[in-house]
Amino acid sequence: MKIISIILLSLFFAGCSEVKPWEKGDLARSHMLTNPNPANSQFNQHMYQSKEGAFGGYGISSGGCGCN
Amino acid sequence: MKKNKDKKQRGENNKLANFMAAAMAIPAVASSISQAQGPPEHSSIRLQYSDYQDYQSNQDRISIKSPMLWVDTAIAERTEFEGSIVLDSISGASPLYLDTVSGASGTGIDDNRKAANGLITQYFEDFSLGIGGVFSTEDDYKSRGLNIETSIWTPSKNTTFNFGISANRDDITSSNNAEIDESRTTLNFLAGISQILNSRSLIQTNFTYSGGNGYFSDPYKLNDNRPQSRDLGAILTQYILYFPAEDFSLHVDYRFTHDSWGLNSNMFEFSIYKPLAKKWLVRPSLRYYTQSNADFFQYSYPPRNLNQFYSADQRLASFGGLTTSFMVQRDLSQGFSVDFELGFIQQRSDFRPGGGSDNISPFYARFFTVGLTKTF
Repeated sequence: MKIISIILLSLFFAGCSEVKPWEKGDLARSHMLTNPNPANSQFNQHMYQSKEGAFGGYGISSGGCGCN
Repeated sequence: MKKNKDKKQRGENNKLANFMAAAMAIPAVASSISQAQGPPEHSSIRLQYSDYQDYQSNQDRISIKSPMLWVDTAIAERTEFEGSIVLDSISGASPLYLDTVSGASGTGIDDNRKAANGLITQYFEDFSLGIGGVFSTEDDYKSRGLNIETSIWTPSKNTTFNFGISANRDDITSSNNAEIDESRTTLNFLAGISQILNSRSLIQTNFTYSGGNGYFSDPYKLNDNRPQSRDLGAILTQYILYFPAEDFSLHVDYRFTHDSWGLNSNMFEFSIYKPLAKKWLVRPSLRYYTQSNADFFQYSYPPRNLNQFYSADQRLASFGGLTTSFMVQRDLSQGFSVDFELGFIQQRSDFRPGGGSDNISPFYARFFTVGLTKTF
C-alpha cells in the first residue's frame, strides 16, 4: 500500500515540470480559475453554510451566518 | 513578449498573443485568494439576482430573494478593490414542529438581511497583502468581521502560498424572546498552496481552521442547547484539468471537515466548463456531500437529559446531499455578459453511505441565479 502510494505520488508530481510563461495560454482561459465567478460562489457557499453542518476551505472572509 | 528569432518560438508567441487577445474578450473575473499576481486589467461590475426555495414534507419552507451588486477593479496601478452588497429577503417557516416560531400557526419568518464586504489588495513584486471587512445585519443577528490575507509567489509564478486570518463578532437576539441577547467571537485561519502542474492543469489546497466561542444555540428551537465553543478544521483540494482537443476544463473539488462537535463531512464537486460557438459557455455540475451528526443531535423531543447539550436541528443530523446544477453564460457586445444558473438540492438520510439519522424527512431546495456582468 505504501509503495503504491509513493508510485502514484511520483507519477502525479512527474507531471509537475517547470511551466514557462509562453506555455500558459490555456491556463489563462477564464474558466481555468478555481473561482471563476466570485459573486455566484458567494451566494452558493452562503446557501450551503445555511443548510449544512460544515463549512470552510474556500476563503477567509466568509463572515457569520444567522441561519435558522 | 520577448523578440525571438526562432521561427517555431515566434509561432508559439503569436499563438499565445492571439489566444490572450481572445481570452481577454471574455470577462475574466479573478478570485481574491487564488492565482492573481496583480490587479485586474479590466474592471468588472456585476448585478446578480439569486432566488432560493426549499421544501420539506410537501410544504414550502424558506424562500430567499437575494439581489447583489459586485465590483472588482484596480483602484491604483498595483491596488485592487473587490466588494459586494447584498439585500436578502427571507420568508417562510423553518422545518419542524419543534420551532417556537412556525409558519404553520401563521407567524412565519419575515426578515431582511443587509450585508456588505470589501477587500483591498496591494500587489508587490513577489507578494500581495489584502485587508478586508464584512458586515451583515438582520432583525435577530448582526455580524462584523475583519480579515487580512497574503499571497506569496515564486519568481516563475507557478507556485503561490496563501495565508489569511480573520476575526468575526456575531450578536444574536430573538424576535420572539426579548431576553436573548448573546454573542460569539470566531477566529479563522487559512493556509494554502496553489500549484501549476503543467500547461493544462493546476491544483490548489487550502487548510482552514475556525475557532468560535460564545452562543451557538438556536433561540427558535425548543431547548436547543449547544456547546459554548466550536473548533472546525477543513481541507479543500481543487484540481483543474484542461482538455485542448475537446476544448473543455474539468474541475474536481474535494473537502473534508472535522469539528469539536463530532461532526465530520466529505464533499465532492465535479464541474465541466465547456465553451460553445465562441460566445457561449455551459457548465454542468454535480456536488455530493455527506456529514455525520453532531454528538448532541437528537431527533426527538423532549431532550433525553436537560442537563446535557441537545439539538434537533436537522442541519446537525447525519445525511447525504446531492446538488445538480447547470450554468449557461453568453457574451454580449460592449463587454457585457449574462449568465444563468439553475440547481436542485436533495438531502436524505439514505444518501449517506451506511445510512444517516433515522426519521429525518427528505429535504429539497431549488435555486437559480441570474447575473449581468460588465467589463470595462
